[in-house]
Amino acid sequence: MFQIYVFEPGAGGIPSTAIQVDNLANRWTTYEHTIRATGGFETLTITMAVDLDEATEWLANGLMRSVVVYSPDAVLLWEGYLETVTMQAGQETRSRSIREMSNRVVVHYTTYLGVVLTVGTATDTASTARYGIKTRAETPSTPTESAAAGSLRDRILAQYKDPITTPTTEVRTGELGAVQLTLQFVGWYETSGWLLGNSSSTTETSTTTQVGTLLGLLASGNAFIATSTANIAASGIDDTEFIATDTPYRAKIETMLGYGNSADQRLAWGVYDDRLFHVTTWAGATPTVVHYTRALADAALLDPNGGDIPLWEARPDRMYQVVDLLDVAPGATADTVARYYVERIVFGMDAGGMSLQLEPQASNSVDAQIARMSR
Amino acid sequence: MASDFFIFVPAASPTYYYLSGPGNAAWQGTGTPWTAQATSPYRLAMNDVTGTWTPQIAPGQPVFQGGPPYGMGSDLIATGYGNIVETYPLQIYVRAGFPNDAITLKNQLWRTLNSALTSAPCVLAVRPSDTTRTGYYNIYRADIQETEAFINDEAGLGLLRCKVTWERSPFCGYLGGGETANGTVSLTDNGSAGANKRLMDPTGFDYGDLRHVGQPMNLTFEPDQQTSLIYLATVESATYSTTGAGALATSSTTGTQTALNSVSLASPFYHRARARSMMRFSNNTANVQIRVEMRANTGGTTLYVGPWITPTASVASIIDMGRVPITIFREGRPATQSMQLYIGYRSTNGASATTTLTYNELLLYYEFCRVDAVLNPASEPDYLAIYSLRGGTNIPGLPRLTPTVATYSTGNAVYDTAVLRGTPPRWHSGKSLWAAWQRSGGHTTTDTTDLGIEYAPLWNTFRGSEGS
Repeated sequence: MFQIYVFEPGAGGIPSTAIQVDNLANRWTTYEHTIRATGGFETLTITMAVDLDEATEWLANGLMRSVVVYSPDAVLLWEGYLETVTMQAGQETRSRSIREMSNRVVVHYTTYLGVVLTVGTATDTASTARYGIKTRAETPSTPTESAAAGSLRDRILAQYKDPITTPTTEVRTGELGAVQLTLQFVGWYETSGWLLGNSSSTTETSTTTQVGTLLGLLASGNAFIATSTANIAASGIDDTEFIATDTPYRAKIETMLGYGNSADQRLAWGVYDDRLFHVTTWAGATPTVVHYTRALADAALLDPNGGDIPLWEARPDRMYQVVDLLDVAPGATADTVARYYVERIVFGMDAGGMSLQLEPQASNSVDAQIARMSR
Repeated sequence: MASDFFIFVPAASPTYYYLSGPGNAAWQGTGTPWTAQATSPYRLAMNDVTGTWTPQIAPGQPVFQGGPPYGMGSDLIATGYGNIVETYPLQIYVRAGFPNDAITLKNQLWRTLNSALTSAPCVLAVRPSDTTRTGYYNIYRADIQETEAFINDEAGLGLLRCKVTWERSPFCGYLGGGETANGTVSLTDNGSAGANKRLMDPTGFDYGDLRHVGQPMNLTFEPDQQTSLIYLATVESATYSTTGAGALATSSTTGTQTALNSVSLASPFYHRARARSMMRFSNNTANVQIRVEMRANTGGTTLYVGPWITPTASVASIIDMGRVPITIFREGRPATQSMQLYIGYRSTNGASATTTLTYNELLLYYEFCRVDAVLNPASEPDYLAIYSLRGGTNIPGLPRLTPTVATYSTGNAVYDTAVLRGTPPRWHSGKSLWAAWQRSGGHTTTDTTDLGIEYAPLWNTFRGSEGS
């Protein structure tokens, strides 16, 4: 049985365990979590049968609640926050989400004389107090002046400062159906795109050192992701500290980590247990070190010594091999007939049992190729 | 003694509706004769016209892994049990010529059976004739359908046949809670000589059909000192050892290892317990990391390495090092196998790092959990409670869907919720309950705690003579 604890957020949306909302263990109808080698904990989706009162409460108050999932063996499986709540009550559907919400807005505009200017940021403090700061930058496509830019900023803020509600209604004959609640959580890594940065420095610094600096800057706005760099392996690669105006910190992080390391290997990164940021050389750099094995006759995941690994404990950035398949001189290639690199995992459970999908890397993607280019 | 089948909605003084009346006790339109079997107008039909009934056993819902075309057979990895839907054939007796009375009795039965949404679920009590103990189920909802005979010809004859289809709990249990076993158990927070574990089934208290696969328990944990972290487990065994204990130092960032004890796994193929390592440290520097390792023998091949763990510096700690897979030892020969434990340790910064190991325990466990809860016996809160079964006056002691985990004051008032990770211990016949805990200021081997243990014996259909 999983323990699925949901907690009220602290001030500014900060994850807190002070007020426990519920333990969803054994209440779900379906459960699915995904974890990605570039990002860490990605999504968690839980559906439950509830009554109308409880569904309404989740819709009204549930967004930004944090969740921590533990396995039957007390292993932390997944951690994140509630991004979208969907209630289906018969033929009515209500969905609220903070995905498109923005409670801090800045507008850059170009005057008729071609001068690029910025109108000051506007913030809705009530929204930031509940959810944290989620910033949006807008640039009108046509020349304008300060007052109009300010009006645009204020209009956008008014429209997007709160969670976005998406209702649907269908009136038709036949059965009205039951009340089902869908809770969609996302991992804390997603919040690295909530704040925008800029830097005019052109100093060249280690990419992983810069990641540590950016974690500090993120935490100064939203204390969601831990600032510890203890799990960040040095890349050995330098890059400019320059950040174009209004670049999400996430974009800068992914650009730098996407270069890989000084051994021309790509990196795996993400936010994992206790919201710690991890950066390591990808497991495909040593493809003969296999983490997960499977026999075709079995539906179990084993370590190379035959030790069983519960399906729910599977993580990406691992090498996986089917023992019945035989490679002929696979060498140092990560993805072969018998083995491949696990880029993403999808674990699901329902009344019929459980399943695990181990997704391979997009080995021919341009990003993957760039990551393997020498510097 | 005739059989008892009756229902009631839990209350301090509930009204009983006997569904096993004699068949010749027609309701005269007044009074409440259904509160006694000898006078109840409700009767279990047990004939070809209305139908027959016996409590249906809850079929297991297994989860298997593996199988054809590449495998021969499949392995069972879990079994669950769902609610039971069954039909109770009922005959209602009233005075001839008073069919309204029959409908009145049928309707009051429907209301009683469908109480679960607004009060405690209706209770079904079952005891076949000449057996000793009564089993109690929860009924969650019910439908009652009259047979065609009522409107055709039997309405004026004082007889209403109907089929009661209810959905109920898969198992029956005690009324008013579970079995209080062991009395109050006192444990010492030290694995030496088994001071921190107790056998679960002292003579005379081991009941229930699920006693070998695990029955839910209510546990209370009342320490003598301030406590902030508690581990609990149901164990097949807990092997304590001080081999390899002492200060272990290294400046290597790759890490090194020291051999601990060899653990004998006697007949590991006779049980499905999993292995987990617990280690107790008296001191650690800030730059040390530790992990558990397993080899086939001393100096032999490494079969498993656990995750690196950063212990709290300068504080005595009992640390969960994680599971140690022992699948490879279950092949069946020889009868006794052994594994060699190691402790791995490394420096995070290249400077000298020290870990001081006091002892280790290797648990062969069935359930394991960790609870983060601050307890202050000198003030409040006084104790931790994990409630996995329902209970209360006239309420069956059946499993909760999710355990309630909270701290309580000396006056038994709820103080705060607590977070439980893992699976709370269940009652397993012949196994032991194990505990380890520590103060926020560190682990102390002389701390003691009182454990209160109550478990829910569960039966498939009838209790026979089992239970207190």
